[in-house]
Amino acid sequence: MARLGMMFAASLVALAGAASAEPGIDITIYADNQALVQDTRVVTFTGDPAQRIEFKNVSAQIRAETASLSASDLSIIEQNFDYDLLSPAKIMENAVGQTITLVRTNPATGQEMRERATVLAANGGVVLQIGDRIEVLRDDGLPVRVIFDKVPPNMRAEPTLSMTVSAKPGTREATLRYLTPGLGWRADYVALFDEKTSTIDVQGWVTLSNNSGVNYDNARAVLVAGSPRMLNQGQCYDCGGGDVDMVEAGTESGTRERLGNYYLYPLPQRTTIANLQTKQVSFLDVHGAPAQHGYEVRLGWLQSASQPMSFNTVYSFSNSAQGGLGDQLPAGVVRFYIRDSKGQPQFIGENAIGHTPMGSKLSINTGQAFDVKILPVVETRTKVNDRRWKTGMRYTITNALPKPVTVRVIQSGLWGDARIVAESQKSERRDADTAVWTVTVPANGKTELTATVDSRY
Amino acid sequence: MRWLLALILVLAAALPAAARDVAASAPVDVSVTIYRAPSRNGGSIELGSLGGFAVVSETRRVTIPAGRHRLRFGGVVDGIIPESAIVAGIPGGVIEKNQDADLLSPSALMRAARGRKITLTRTNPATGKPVQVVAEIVSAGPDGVVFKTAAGTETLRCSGFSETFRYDLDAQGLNAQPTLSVMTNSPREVTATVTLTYIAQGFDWSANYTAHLNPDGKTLSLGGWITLANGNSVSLANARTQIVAGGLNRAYVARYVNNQPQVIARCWGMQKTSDIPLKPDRPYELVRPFLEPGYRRFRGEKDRNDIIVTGAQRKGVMMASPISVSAVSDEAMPPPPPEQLGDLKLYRMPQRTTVAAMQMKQTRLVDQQAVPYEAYYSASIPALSYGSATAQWPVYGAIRMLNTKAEGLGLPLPAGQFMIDQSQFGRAMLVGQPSLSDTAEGEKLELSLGNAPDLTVRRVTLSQTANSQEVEVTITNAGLQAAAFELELALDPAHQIDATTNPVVLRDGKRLMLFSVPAGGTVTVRYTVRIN
Repeated sequence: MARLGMMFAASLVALAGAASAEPGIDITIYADNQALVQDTRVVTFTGDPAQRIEFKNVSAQIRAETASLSASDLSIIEQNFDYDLLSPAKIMENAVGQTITLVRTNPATGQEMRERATVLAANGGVVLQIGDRIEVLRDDGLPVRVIFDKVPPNMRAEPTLSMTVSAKPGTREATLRYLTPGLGWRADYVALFDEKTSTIDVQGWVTLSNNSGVNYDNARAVLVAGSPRMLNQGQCYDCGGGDVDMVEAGTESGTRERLGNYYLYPLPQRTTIANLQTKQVSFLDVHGAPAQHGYEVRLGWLQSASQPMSFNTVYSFSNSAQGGLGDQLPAGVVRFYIRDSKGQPQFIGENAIGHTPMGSKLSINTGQAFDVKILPVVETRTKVNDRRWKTGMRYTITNALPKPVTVRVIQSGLWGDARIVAESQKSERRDADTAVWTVTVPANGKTELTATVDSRY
Repeated sequence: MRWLLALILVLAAALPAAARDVAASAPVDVSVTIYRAPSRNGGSIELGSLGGFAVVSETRRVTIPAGRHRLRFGGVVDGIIPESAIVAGIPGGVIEKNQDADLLSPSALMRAARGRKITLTRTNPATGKPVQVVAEIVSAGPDGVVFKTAAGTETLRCSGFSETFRYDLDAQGLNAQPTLSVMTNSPREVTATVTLTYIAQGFDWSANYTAHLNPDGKTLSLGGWITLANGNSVSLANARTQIVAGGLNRAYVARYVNNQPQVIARCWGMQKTSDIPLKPDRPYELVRPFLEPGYRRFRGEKDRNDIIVTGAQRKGVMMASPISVSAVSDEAMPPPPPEQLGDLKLYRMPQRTTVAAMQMKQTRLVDQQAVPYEAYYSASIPALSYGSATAQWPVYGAIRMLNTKAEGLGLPLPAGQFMIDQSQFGRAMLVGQPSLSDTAEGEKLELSLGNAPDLTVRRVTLSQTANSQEVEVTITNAGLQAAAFELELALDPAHQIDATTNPVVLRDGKRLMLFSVPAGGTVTVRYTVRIN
């Protein structure tokens, strides 16, 4: 027991040089699974010209090359990241050529017998030299304990960041900064649509998740809406995609704190971000913002169908300060709910949105309408001359609902110079490639929409 | 004595209340709304991998003392999507919501004990006496466990002794099940009823229709069932159950998974002098000439063969089985009409039911007698072909119904699978298993029954020029009845069909020739395609 006490005393001395986990952690979490951790601890500097400090409880996924330590009167000599992990096989391989202790137990009497042995090889099995004979460890299957005198110094129980520093003696705060993946966040919105008043209630939550392998106790967290460009991320080639949810980008500035081009969302209180935890904090709660329900379908050039296709259900609203949600919306998922006849909110679909500046108009597709459908048919194709064709389109729009509906039919693929030469009702050319018809369909009825397009192909 | 107690109470009240855990009661009321797999518009559910989801709404009772507390909701459905959770009715409001997925397991215990003092118990094989040693876990990972004792550094399970750790620390922060919690701050002690609503994966439902063709050859009896399944390990007892039909959008977001490696007590190489090295390429596998019955019934699930079918009238205790099938049948109850939910359809189960873990359940959806239908045969051939000049094309039998009140239907029919049968030789014979997509009132249903080998279609290109092709199509019928035939001439609308022996009609964008092929007879049609 006396030996045991000595062992723990020895380990305490070893720990005294390590940094203790106070007084706090500041975490800045970006939206793309990346976080900047600023870990301030009280460290006792011994004045040793080459003092080694080990940092325990740092992210298991730490990007060690980004780590930096700062404290007053401190200069860093060397920074190491040891990731050779301690395991029985490694410890045995390291013991080759060294002496270990074997404890054999007599299976009949239970008597223990100690022996010293030299490890000759650890290839597949362990070959030992005991005195002047050679043995294979546990070749007879009898129990034998192996006790190693020491742990190889370069091996760690977990990947460990260590620094060799030269500092003025004394106890003071030192701050370790590093980047780590495994911490990320996005927004989650709950939108409850009221059909009678055509309004929505929207709650916004920031959802952060920690998969970095360590708990951050009592941390101050700030979430940054936006993704600073990281190395290896490449150019944003696909960012100019069409068919966006944001139909009109806003020009209003919010009151939230900014960092460069990005909005900041600080968590209101210090909190513990545990490993494998998903944490949500509310940032938006708006009631009764006006919203419109509509139907929309987007058709490609010469798109025909043999079975009616459902219209998409879209909900549109604004996040303007006047008549809208009144806040910019960080990228995330919007989930829509509607109350059923018993007043219980029921889920009706969700969609992802990008970072949306304040004052924008959003149009979010939640799903396919059961009762409102369209059958697009290319009825005729006539060659006008070698360059031009005339295409006759018929769109049959059906409504099985007991009320009239207004739908938007978007014909895309008009390739700029295609002209609509005849149509059963007036269309609006939204841009060079698309024409939009706003069609009213009677209750339990159908409307036929026809158009003739003069085009290059 | 009384003043002392009062003093203690005053002192206790004066102390700042530390954040403590408060557990919510088990659900006192549950409502579940089941949605089908978003990508599936037709067909049936796959019990092995349920692609749908459910919105679960649980009412729970909770007593929150004054101060800042963590309110825990245990026993939520394991497929929960934590960020979808909505907690309503907490008087103090929600400061933050958490879902902890670091579950209590041998690996998690060992990892949590790293660097701490624990007790190692080793049993002497001769005397059976346990020997307890204080140890400290140095490292615990997928490559083994290393610990320190007073004797030096040792490794777990390499000695051949039975040895194990006993953990003195409490398993703080580790939950047996995924647990959702909210942080709340209450000015005084309150008892409240809170509602927890969340989306959970691992559910699905589908509609299953049975159409029995009546002997008159003109009408059929249509029955429909809603089949729902719960693939989670949590049962929803006595729940108000709803089904939502229609297509919903789901947003797929990157989900972080537990990347913590498991702790495995591995050792160094234990090769012995008696070991014979493995010879490469030696065939070790046993030859199995026959597959066992039920093999691959469910994809990748080997021991899911014992399915138990129960009816509502049978309520006995069943053998434990991975997936059980039960029918909530109440023939007297008419199928409830759906409710409009936005642009979707909501079906309510007529009474509360238990959606048990690993269970499939059925309830009535439609029951319509004497629905008129039209039987026909169809073949689709390319009107213009540059392939082989003479080619044979398959013919399919099909039935058509109109989903209107006048035609005996007139109700929304959610996507699902049909089973069409007719009586022959005094028993029901299956004639087809077509799939149906969501069909609104007023639409027509066209259900393909399968190949009709009695009918053949031969397409012959008679002559060809640079801008025309002359074609003859011969349809033969070896059946006992005249066949209503729909020949589709598939063609790019840029070209025209003319000089036809039969009229061509345009229906739903298809160019069709409609005629009847007499029993044991042949029909020959001709047309010319003008190529533009």
